[in-house]
Amino acid sequence: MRFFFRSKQFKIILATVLAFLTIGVVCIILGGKISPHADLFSTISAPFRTAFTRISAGVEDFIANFAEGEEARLQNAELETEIASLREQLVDLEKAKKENEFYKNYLEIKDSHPDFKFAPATLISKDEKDPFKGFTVNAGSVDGIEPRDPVITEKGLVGYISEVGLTTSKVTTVLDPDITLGALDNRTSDSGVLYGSFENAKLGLTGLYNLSRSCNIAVGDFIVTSGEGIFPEGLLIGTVKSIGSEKYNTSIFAAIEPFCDFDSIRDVMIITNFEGQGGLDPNS
Amino acid sequence: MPKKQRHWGIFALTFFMFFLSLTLFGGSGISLAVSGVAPVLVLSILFPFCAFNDVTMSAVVGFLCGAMLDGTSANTYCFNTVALLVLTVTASLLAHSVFNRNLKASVILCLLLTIIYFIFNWLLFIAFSLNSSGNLKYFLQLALPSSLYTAVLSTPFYFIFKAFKEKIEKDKN
Repeated sequence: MRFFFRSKQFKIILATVLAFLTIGVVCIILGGKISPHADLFSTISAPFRTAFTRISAGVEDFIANFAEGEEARLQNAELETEIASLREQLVDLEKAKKENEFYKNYLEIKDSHPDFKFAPATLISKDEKDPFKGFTVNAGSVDGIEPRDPVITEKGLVGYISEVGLTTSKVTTVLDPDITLGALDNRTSDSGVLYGSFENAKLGLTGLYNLSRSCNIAVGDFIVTSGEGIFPEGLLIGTVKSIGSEKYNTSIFAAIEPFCDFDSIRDVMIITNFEGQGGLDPNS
Repeated sequence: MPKKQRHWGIFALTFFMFFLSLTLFGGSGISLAVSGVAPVLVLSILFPFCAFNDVTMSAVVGFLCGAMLDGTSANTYCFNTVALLVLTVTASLLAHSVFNRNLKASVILCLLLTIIYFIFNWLLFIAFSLNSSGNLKYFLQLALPSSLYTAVLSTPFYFIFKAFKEKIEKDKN
Protein backbone atom coordinates (compact mmCIF):
# COMPACT_ATOMS: atom_id res chain seq x y z
CA MET A 1 0.00 0.00 0.00
CA ARG A 2 2.84 2.42 0.75
CA PHE A 3 4.09 2.05 -2.81
CA PHE A 4 0.72 3.35 -3.99
CA PHE A 5 1.34 6.69 -2.24
CA ARG A 6 4.56 7.14 -4.20
CA SER A 7 3.06 6.08 -7.50
CA LYS A 8 1.97 8.19 -10.47
CA GLN A 9 -1.62 6.96 -9.97
CA PHE A 10 -1.78 8.56 -6.53
CA LYS A 11 -0.50 11.88 -7.87
CA ILE A 12 -3.12 11.88 -10.63
CA ILE A 13 -5.89 11.08 -8.15
CA LEU A 14 -4.63 13.78 -5.77
CA ALA A 15 -4.51 16.34 -8.58
CA THR A 16 -8.08 15.40 -9.61
CA VAL A 17 -9.33 15.76 -6.02
CA LEU A 18 -7.68 19.19 -5.66
CA ALA A 19 -9.03 20.33 -9.03
CA PHE A 20 -12.59 19.40 -8.15
CA LEU A 21 -12.29 20.88 -4.67
CA THR A 22 -11.31 24.14 -6.38
CA ILE A 23 -14.27 23.87 -8.76
CA GLY A 24 -16.54 23.24 -5.78
CA VAL A 25 -15.24 26.31 -3.94
CA VAL A 26 -15.67 28.45 -7.07
CA CYS A 27 -19.27 27.20 -7.46
CA ILE A 28 -20.00 28.11 -3.83
CA ILE A 29 -18.53 31.60 -4.27
CA LEU A 30 -20.38 32.23 -7.54
CA GLY A 31 -23.55 30.70 -6.11
CA GLY A 32 -26.56 29.36 -8.00
CA LYS A 33 -24.70 27.31 -10.62
CA ILE A 34 -24.37 23.55 -10.87
CA SER A 35 -20.71 22.54 -11.37
CA PRO A 36 -19.88 21.95 -15.06
CA HIS A 37 -19.18 18.21 -14.87
CA ALA A 38 -22.35 17.56 -12.81
CA ASP A 39 -24.32 19.68 -15.28
CA LEU A 40 -23.01 17.56 -18.16
CA PHE A 41 -24.02 14.28 -16.52
CA SER A 42 -27.31 15.73 -15.37
CA THR A 43 -28.13 16.91 -18.91
CA ILE A 44 -27.23 13.54 -20.43
CA SER A 45 -29.21 11.54 -17.89
CA ALA A 46 -32.22 13.92 -17.67
CA PRO A 47 -34.25 12.18 -20.43
CA PHE A 48 -33.78 8.78 -18.75
CA ARG A 49 -34.74 10.14 -15.33
CA THR A 50 -37.79 11.86 -16.81
CA ALA A 51 -38.84 8.59 -18.47
CA PHE A 52 -38.35 6.59 -15.27
CA THR A 53 -40.29 9.19 -13.26
CA ARG A 54 -43.22 8.97 -15.69
CA ILE A 55 -43.19 5.17 -15.64
CA SER A 56 -43.12 5.00 -11.84
CA ALA A 57 -45.83 7.69 -11.60
CA GLY A 58 -48.00 5.60 -13.92
CA VAL A 59 -47.42 2.48 -11.84
CA GLU A 60 -48.14 4.38 -8.62
CA ASP A 61 -51.43 5.71 -10.06
CA PHE A 62 -52.43 2.23 -11.22
CA ILE A 63 -51.77 0.76 -7.77
CA ALA A 64 -53.49 3.68 -6.04
CA ASN A 65 -56.66 3.21 -8.07
CA PHE A 66 -57.09 -0.36 -6.98
CA ALA A 67 -55.31 -0.76 -3.68
CA GLU A 68 -55.91 2.63 -2.12
CA GLY A 69 -59.41 3.41 -3.36
CA GLU A 70 -60.92 3.52 0.12
CA GLU A 71 -58.15 5.80 1.44
CA ALA A 72 -58.60 8.10 -1.58
CA ARG A 73 -62.37 8.32 -0.95
CA LEU A 74 -61.83 9.27 2.71
CA GLN A 75 -59.18 11.80 1.76
CA ASN A 76 -61.50 13.25 -0.87
CA ALA A 77 -64.25 13.68 1.71
CA GLU A 78 -61.82 15.47 4.07
CA LEU A 79 -60.66 17.77 1.28
CA GLU A 80 -64.22 18.69 0.37
CA THR A 81 -64.86 19.67 3.99
CA GLU A 82 -61.67 21.71 3.99
CA ILE A 83 -62.68 23.45 0.75
CA ALA A 84 -66.03 24.38 2.27
CA SER A 85 -64.27 25.82 5.34
CA LEU A 86 -61.86 27.77 3.13
CA ARG A 87 -64.74 29.33 1.20
CA GLU A 88 -66.27 30.51 4.49
CA GLN A 89 -62.99 32.13 5.48
CA LEU A 90 -62.65 33.81 2.11
CA VAL A 91 -65.99 35.59 2.46
CA ASP A 92 -64.68 37.28 5.65
CA LEU A 93 -61.57 38.84 4.10
CA GLU A 94 -61.68 42.64 3.96
CA LYS A 95 -59.24 43.59 1.26
CA ALA A 96 -59.32 42.12 -2.27
CA LYS A 97 -55.49 42.05 -2.22
CA LYS A 98 -55.47 39.66 0.83
CA GLU A 99 -58.09 37.36 -0.65
CA ASN A 100 -56.44 33.97 -1.19
CA GLU A 101 -58.23 30.98 -2.36
CA PHE A 102 -57.15 27.47 -2.74
CA TYR A 103 -55.46 27.48 -6.14
CA LYS A 104 -57.17 25.14 -8.53
CA ASN A 105 -55.02 25.93 -11.55
CA TYR A 106 -52.42 28.44 -12.70
CA LEU A 107 -54.88 30.51 -14.71
CA GLU A 108 -56.37 31.76 -11.44
CA ILE A 109 -52.91 32.70 -10.14
CA LYS A 110 -52.25 34.53 -13.40
CA ASP A 111 -55.54 36.46 -13.11
CA SER A 112 -54.58 37.60 -9.61
CA HIS A 113 -50.99 38.36 -10.61
CA PRO A 114 -50.92 39.38 -14.28
CA ASP A 115 -47.24 40.35 -13.92
CA PHE A 116 -46.19 36.70 -13.23
CA LYS A 117 -44.35 34.82 -15.96
CA PHE A 118 -44.20 31.05 -15.55
CA ALA A 119 -42.06 28.23 -16.84
CA PRO A 120 -43.42 24.70 -16.33
CA ALA A 121 -41.15 21.95 -15.08
CA THR A 122 -41.36 18.32 -14.00
CA LEU A 123 -39.57 16.61 -11.14
CA ILE A 124 -37.00 14.17 -12.55
CA SER A 125 -35.16 13.08 -9.42
CA LYS A 126 -35.27 13.45 -5.69
CA ASP A 127 -32.30 13.37 -3.34
CA GLU A 128 -33.30 10.58 -0.96
CA LYS A 129 -30.40 11.48 1.35
CA ASP A 130 -31.77 15.00 1.78
CA PRO A 131 -34.04 15.18 4.85
CA PHE A 132 -35.46 18.47 3.51
CA LYS A 133 -36.81 16.85 0.31
CA GLY A 134 -34.92 18.87 -2.28
CA PHE A 135 -35.34 17.69 -5.86
CA THR A 136 -34.26 18.29 -9.45
CA VAL A 137 -36.50 19.53 -12.27
CA ASN A 138 -36.10 19.34 -16.04
CA ALA A 139 -35.83 23.07 -16.71
CA GLY A 140 -32.63 25.05 -16.77
CA SER A 141 -30.97 28.17 -18.12
CA VAL A 142 -32.11 27.38 -21.68
CA ASP A 143 -35.72 27.73 -20.41
CA GLY A 144 -35.04 31.12 -18.83
CA ILE A 145 -34.65 29.78 -15.28
CA GLU A 146 -32.39 31.76 -12.96
CA PRO A 147 -31.21 31.14 -9.40
CA ARG A 148 -33.67 32.24 -6.68
CA ASP A 149 -36.73 31.94 -8.94
CA PRO A 150 -39.73 30.92 -6.78
CA VAL A 151 -41.25 27.47 -7.39
CA ILE A 152 -44.95 26.79 -6.85
CA THR A 153 -47.63 24.21 -7.57
CA GLU A 154 -51.35 24.80 -7.84
CA LYS A 155 -51.53 24.06 -4.09
CA GLY A 156 -48.94 26.58 -2.92
CA LEU A 157 -45.30 27.51 -2.51
CA VAL A 158 -42.71 24.75 -2.90
CA GLY A 159 -39.45 26.65 -2.51
CA TYR A 160 -36.94 28.28 -4.82
CA ILE A 161 -34.36 27.40 -7.45
CA SER A 162 -31.02 27.04 -5.66
CA GLU A 163 -28.82 25.87 -8.55
CA VAL A 164 -29.30 26.17 -12.30
CA GLY A 165 -27.75 23.99 -14.98
CA LEU A 166 -28.22 23.99 -18.70
CA THR A 167 -31.35 21.81 -18.78
CA THR A 168 -31.89 20.95 -15.13
CA SER A 169 -32.23 22.90 -11.90
CA LYS A 170 -32.24 22.04 -8.23
CA VAL A 171 -35.07 23.11 -5.94
CA THR A 172 -34.65 23.90 -2.24
CA THR A 173 -37.96 23.44 -0.44
CA VAL A 174 -39.57 25.45 2.37
CA LEU A 175 -38.65 22.57 4.74
CA ASP A 176 -34.95 23.50 4.45
CA PRO A 177 -33.34 25.48 7.32
CA ASP A 178 -31.22 27.33 4.73
CA ILE A 179 -34.32 29.05 3.33
CA THR A 180 -35.55 32.11 5.21
CA LEU A 181 -38.55 34.00 3.92
CA GLY A 182 -40.92 36.62 5.25
CA ALA A 183 -44.39 35.20 5.85
CA LEU A 184 -47.57 36.36 7.51
CA ASP A 185 -50.86 35.08 8.78
CA ASN A 186 -53.47 35.77 6.13
CA ARG A 187 -56.20 36.41 8.74
CA THR A 188 -54.36 38.50 11.36
CA SER A 189 -51.44 39.88 9.29
CA ASP A 190 -49.01 38.79 12.04
CA SER A 191 -45.63 38.45 10.38
CA GLY A 192 -42.66 36.25 11.09
CA VAL A 193 -39.71 34.49 9.46
CA LEU A 194 -40.26 31.07 7.95
CA TYR A 195 -37.53 28.42 7.85
CA GLY A 196 -37.20 24.70 8.43
CA SER A 197 -35.56 22.40 10.93
CA PHE A 198 -34.64 18.70 10.90
CA GLU A 199 -37.28 17.79 13.49
CA ASN A 200 -40.02 19.60 11.58
CA ALA A 201 -38.85 18.26 8.21
CA LYS A 202 -39.20 14.66 9.45
CA LEU A 203 -42.87 15.44 10.09
CA GLY A 204 -43.26 17.27 6.78
CA LEU A 205 -43.57 20.64 8.54
CA THR A 206 -41.76 23.95 8.50
CA GLY A 207 -41.69 26.71 11.12
CA LEU A 208 -42.75 30.35 11.41
CA TYR A 209 -40.58 32.09 13.98
CA ASN A 210 -40.15 35.49 15.64
CA LEU A 211 -43.87 35.93 16.19
CA SER A 212 -44.80 38.49 18.78
CA ARG A 213 -46.35 37.19 22.01
CA SER A 214 -49.27 39.53 21.46
CA CYS A 215 -50.11 38.06 18.04
CA ASN A 216 -53.47 36.42 17.39
CA ILE A 217 -52.30 33.54 15.25
CA ALA A 218 -54.42 30.40 15.63
CA VAL A 219 -54.29 26.78 14.52
CA GLY A 220 -55.78 26.44 11.06
CA ASP A 221 -54.80 29.94 9.87
CA PHE A 222 -53.35 30.25 6.38
CA ILE A 223 -49.77 31.45 6.03
CA VAL A 224 -48.78 33.39 2.92
CA THR A 225 -45.62 35.09 1.69
CA SER A 226 -45.26 38.69 2.79
CA GLY A 227 -43.47 39.91 -0.34
CA GLU A 228 -40.13 40.45 1.43
CA GLY A 229 -37.12 38.74 -0.09
CA ILE A 230 -37.25 36.87 -3.35
CA PHE A 231 -40.87 35.68 -3.15
CA PRO A 232 -43.81 37.72 -4.42
CA GLU A 233 -46.54 38.67 -2.00
CA GLY A 234 -49.55 36.48 -1.40
CA LEU A 235 -48.34 32.99 -2.29
CA LEU A 236 -49.98 30.32 -0.15
CA ILE A 237 -47.52 28.38 1.98
CA GLY A 238 -49.53 26.24 4.40
CA THR A 239 -51.66 26.12 7.53
CA VAL A 240 -50.75 26.55 11.18
CA LYS A 241 -50.53 23.10 12.73
CA SER A 242 -49.46 24.04 16.25
CA ILE A 243 -48.13 27.01 18.26
CA GLY A 244 -45.35 27.00 20.84
CA SER A 245 -43.00 29.23 22.82
CA GLU A 246 -39.35 29.70 21.97
CA LYS A 247 -36.99 28.45 24.65
CA TYR A 248 -34.51 31.28 24.80
CA ASN A 249 -36.50 34.38 23.96
CA THR A 250 -39.94 35.89 24.39
CA SER A 251 -41.29 35.22 20.92
CA ILE A 252 -43.50 32.34 19.87
CA PHE A 253 -43.35 30.06 16.85
CA ALA A 254 -45.84 28.13 14.78
CA ALA A 255 -45.40 24.79 13.06
CA ILE A 256 -46.67 25.14 9.50
CA GLU A 257 -47.97 22.27 7.39
CA PRO A 258 -47.28 23.17 3.75
CA PHE A 259 -50.11 22.70 1.29
CA CYS A 260 -47.72 20.90 -1.03
CA ASP A 261 -47.13 17.22 -0.42
CA PHE A 262 -43.41 17.00 -1.14
CA ASP A 263 -43.53 13.21 -1.39
CA SER A 264 -45.91 13.27 -4.35
CA ILE A 265 -44.86 16.41 -6.23
CA ARG A 266 -44.57 15.85 -9.97
CA ASP A 267 -45.24 19.05 -11.92
CA VAL A 268 -44.29 22.53 -10.75
CA MET A 269 -44.35 26.07 -12.08
CA ILE A 270 -41.32 28.32 -11.80
CA ILE A 271 -42.04 32.04 -11.58
CA THR A 272 -39.39 33.49 -13.86
CA ASN A 273 -40.53 37.09 -13.69
CA PHE A 274 -42.77 39.19 -11.47
CA GLU A 275 -43.08 42.80 -10.41
CA GLY A 276 -40.65 43.59 -7.64
CA GLN A 277 -38.36 40.63 -8.36
CA GLY A 278 -34.85 40.83 -6.98
CA GLY A 279 -35.01 40.73 -3.22
CA LEU A 280 -32.66 39.42 -0.52
CA ASP A 281 -30.98 36.03 -0.88
CA PRO A 282 -33.07 33.58 1.20
CA ASN A 283 -29.83 32.09 2.54
CA SER A 284 -28.78 35.38 4.12
CA MET B 1 -13.27 -13.95 -29.41
CA PRO B 2 -15.81 -15.74 -27.16
CA LYS B 3 -13.72 -14.70 -24.10
CA LYS B 4 -13.91 -11.02 -25.14
CA GLN B 5 -17.71 -11.22 -25.52
CA ARG B 6 -18.04 -12.53 -21.96
CA HIS B 7 -15.99 -9.62 -20.65
CA TRP B 8 -18.11 -7.16 -22.62
CA GLY B 9 -21.17 -8.81 -21.13
CA ILE B 10 -19.80 -8.32 -17.63
CA PHE B 11 -18.96 -4.71 -18.45
CA ALA B 12 -22.47 -4.12 -19.82
CA LEU B 13 -24.12 -5.70 -16.77
CA THR B 14 -21.96 -3.65 -14.41
CA PHE B 15 -22.72 -0.45 -16.32
CA PHE B 16 -26.44 -1.31 -16.32
CA MET B 17 -26.43 -1.85 -12.53
CA PHE B 18 -24.77 1.51 -11.89
CA PHE B 19 -27.01 3.24 -14.43
CA LEU B 20 -30.20 1.90 -12.85
CA SER B 21 -29.00 2.72 -9.33
CA LEU B 22 -28.40 6.35 -10.37
CA THR B 23 -31.53 6.87 -12.48
CA LEU B 24 -34.36 4.43 -11.72
CA PHE B 25 -33.61 4.01 -8.03
CA GLY B 26 -31.92 7.39 -7.56
CA GLY B 27 -35.09 9.20 -6.56
CA SER B 28 -36.66 9.25 -10.02
CA GLY B 29 -38.71 6.12 -9.81
CA ILE B 30 -38.75 3.26 -7.37
CA SER B 31 -37.94 4.13 -3.79
CA LEU B 32 -36.29 1.56 -1.53
CA ALA B 33 -37.02 3.60 1.59
CA VAL B 34 -38.35 1.76 4.65
CA SER B 35 -39.96 3.93 7.35
CA GLY B 36 -38.33 7.01 5.89
CA VAL B 37 -34.84 5.46 5.78
CA ALA B 38 -33.41 5.14 2.29
CA PRO B 39 -30.18 3.37 1.33
CA VAL B 40 -27.55 4.98 -0.88
CA LEU B 41 -27.86 2.25 -3.49
CA VAL B 42 -24.95 3.46 -5.58
CA LEU B 43 -22.64 2.98 -2.57
CA SER B 44 -24.06 -0.53 -2.02
CA ILE B 45 -22.89 -1.38 -5.53
CA LEU B 46 -19.73 0.73 -5.57
CA PHE B 47 -17.88 -0.64 -2.55
CA PRO B 48 -18.21 -4.35 -3.45
CA PHE B 49 -17.14 -3.35 -6.99
CA CYS B 50 -14.01 -1.68 -5.57
CA ALA B 51 -13.18 -4.77 -3.50
CA PHE B 52 -12.76 -6.81 -6.68
CA ASN B 53 -11.20 -4.20 -8.96
CA ASP B 54 -7.92 -2.31 -8.99
CA VAL B 55 -7.42 1.23 -7.71
CA THR B 56 -7.50 2.91 -11.13
CA MET B 57 -10.79 1.33 -12.21
CA SER B 58 -12.30 2.05 -8.78
CA ALA B 59 -11.21 5.70 -8.99
CA VAL B 60 -12.69 6.15 -12.48
CA VAL B 61 -16.01 4.53 -11.58
CA GLY B 62 -16.15 6.43 -8.28
CA PHE B 63 -15.54 9.70 -10.10
CA LEU B 64 -18.29 9.03 -12.66
CA CYS B 65 -20.83 7.95 -10.02
CA GLY B 66 -19.97 10.99 -7.91
CA ALA B 67 -20.46 13.32 -10.87
CA MET B 68 -23.87 11.78 -11.54
CA LEU B 69 -24.85 12.13 -7.88
CA ASP B 70 -23.78 15.79 -7.91
CA GLY B 71 -26.15 16.33 -10.82
CA THR B 72 -29.10 15.01 -8.86
CA SER B 73 -28.36 15.91 -5.24
CA ALA B 74 -29.29 19.22 -3.70
CA ASN B 75 -26.58 21.80 -2.96
CA THR B 76 -23.53 19.55 -3.11
CA TYR B 77 -20.96 21.60 -5.12
CA CYS B 78 -18.71 18.70 -6.29
CA PHE B 79 -18.85 17.02 -2.86
CA ASN B 80 -19.98 13.65 -4.23
CA THR B 81 -17.35 13.71 -7.00
CA VAL B 82 -14.52 14.26 -4.53
CA ALA B 83 -15.96 12.06 -1.76
CA LEU B 84 -16.66 9.05 -3.97
CA LEU B 85 -13.29 9.37 -5.69
CA VAL B 86 -11.50 9.31 -2.32
CA LEU B 87 -13.75 6.62 -0.78
CA THR B 88 -13.52 4.24 -3.75
CA VAL B 89 -9.73 4.51 -3.81
CA THR B 90 -9.71 3.87 -0.05
CA ALA B 91 -12.08 0.92 -0.43
CA SER B 92 -9.94 -0.65 -3.15
CA LEU B 93 -6.70 -0.16 -1.20
CA LEU B 94 -8.16 -1.51 2.04
CA ALA B 95 -9.82 -4.49 0.34
CA HIS B 96 -6.57 -5.47 -1.38
CA SER B 97 -4.13 -4.72 1.46
CA VAL B 98 -5.86 -4.85 4.82
CA PHE B 99 -9.12 -6.75 4.66
CA ASN B 100 -9.80 -10.23 3.37
CA ARG B 101 -12.19 -10.18 0.46
CA ASN B 102 -14.88 -12.12 2.25
CA LEU B 103 -18.51 -11.15 2.77
CA LYS B 104 -18.12 -10.01 6.37
CA ALA B 105 -15.18 -7.73 5.53
CA SER B 106 -17.03 -6.33 2.51
CA VAL B 107 -20.14 -5.46 4.53
CA ILE B 108 -18.09 -3.89 7.35
CA LEU B 109 -16.03 -1.90 4.85
CA CYS B 110 -19.23 -0.68 3.16
CA LEU B 111 -20.72 0.29 6.54
CA LEU B 112 -17.61 2.19 7.68
CA LEU B 113 -17.13 4.07 4.42
CA THR B 114 -20.84 4.96 4.17
CA ILE B 115 -20.72 6.36 7.72
CA ILE B 116 -17.65 8.42 6.73
CA TYR B 117 -19.56 9.64 3.66
CA PHE B 118 -22.49 10.77 5.83
CA ILE B 119 -20.14 12.41 8.35
CA PHE B 120 -18.50 14.52 5.64
CA ASN B 121 -21.90 15.34 4.10
CA TRP B 122 -23.17 16.41 7.52
CA LEU B 123 -20.06 18.43 8.34
CA LEU B 124 -20.14 20.39 5.09
CA PHE B 125 -23.85 20.93 4.47
CA ILE B 126 -25.94 20.24 7.54
CA ALA B 127 -23.99 20.69 10.79
CA PHE B 128 -24.19 24.48 10.93
CA SER B 129 -27.83 24.68 9.82
CA LEU B 130 -29.23 22.65 12.70
CA ASN B 131 -29.13 22.92 16.47
CA SER B 132 -27.57 20.18 18.64
CA SER B 133 -30.86 18.30 18.94
CA GLY B 134 -31.35 18.38 15.16
CA ASN B 135 -27.79 17.18 14.55
CA LEU B 136 -28.19 14.26 16.95
CA LYS B 137 -31.49 13.30 15.35
CA TYR B 138 -29.90 13.53 11.90
CA PHE B 139 -27.33 10.94 12.92
CA LEU B 140 -29.62 8.64 14.85
CA GLN B 141 -32.64 8.80 12.58
CA LEU B 142 -31.09 9.23 9.16
CA ALA B 143 -27.33 8.71 8.82
CA LEU B 144 -26.82 5.56 10.90
CA PRO B 145 -29.95 3.67 9.77
CA SER B 146 -29.23 4.61 6.16
CA SER B 147 -25.62 3.41 6.49
CA LEU B 148 -26.76 0.08 7.95
CA TYR B 149 -29.35 -0.36 5.21
CA THR B 150 -26.71 0.47 2.57
CA ALA B 151 -24.27 -2.07 4.02
CA VAL B 152 -26.89 -4.83 4.18
CA LEU B 153 -27.95 -4.08 0.61
CA SER B 154 -24.34 -4.52 -0.57
CA THR B 155 -24.52 -8.27 0.18
CA PRO B 156 -25.99 -9.46 -3.14
CA PHE B 157 -23.64 -7.19 -5.08
CA TYR B 158 -20.66 -8.74 -3.28
CA PHE B 159 -21.65 -12.14 -4.70
CA ILE B 160 -22.30 -10.67 -8.15
CA PHE B 161 -18.90 -8.98 -8.43
CA LYS B 162 -17.18 -12.00 -6.88
CA ALA B 163 -18.74 -14.17 -9.60
CA PHE B 164 -17.65 -11.68 -12.28
CA LYS B 165 -14.09 -11.67 -10.92
CA GLU B 166 -13.93 -15.46 -10.83
CA LYS B 167 -15.16 -15.67 -14.42
CA ILE B 168 -12.55 -13.17 -15.61
CA GLU B 169 -9.79 -15.00 -13.72
CA LYS B 170 -10.97 -18.32 -15.18
CA ASP B 171 -10.89 -16.89 -18.71
CA LYS B 172 -7.36 -15.59 -18.19
CA ASN B 173 -6.22 -19.04 -17.17
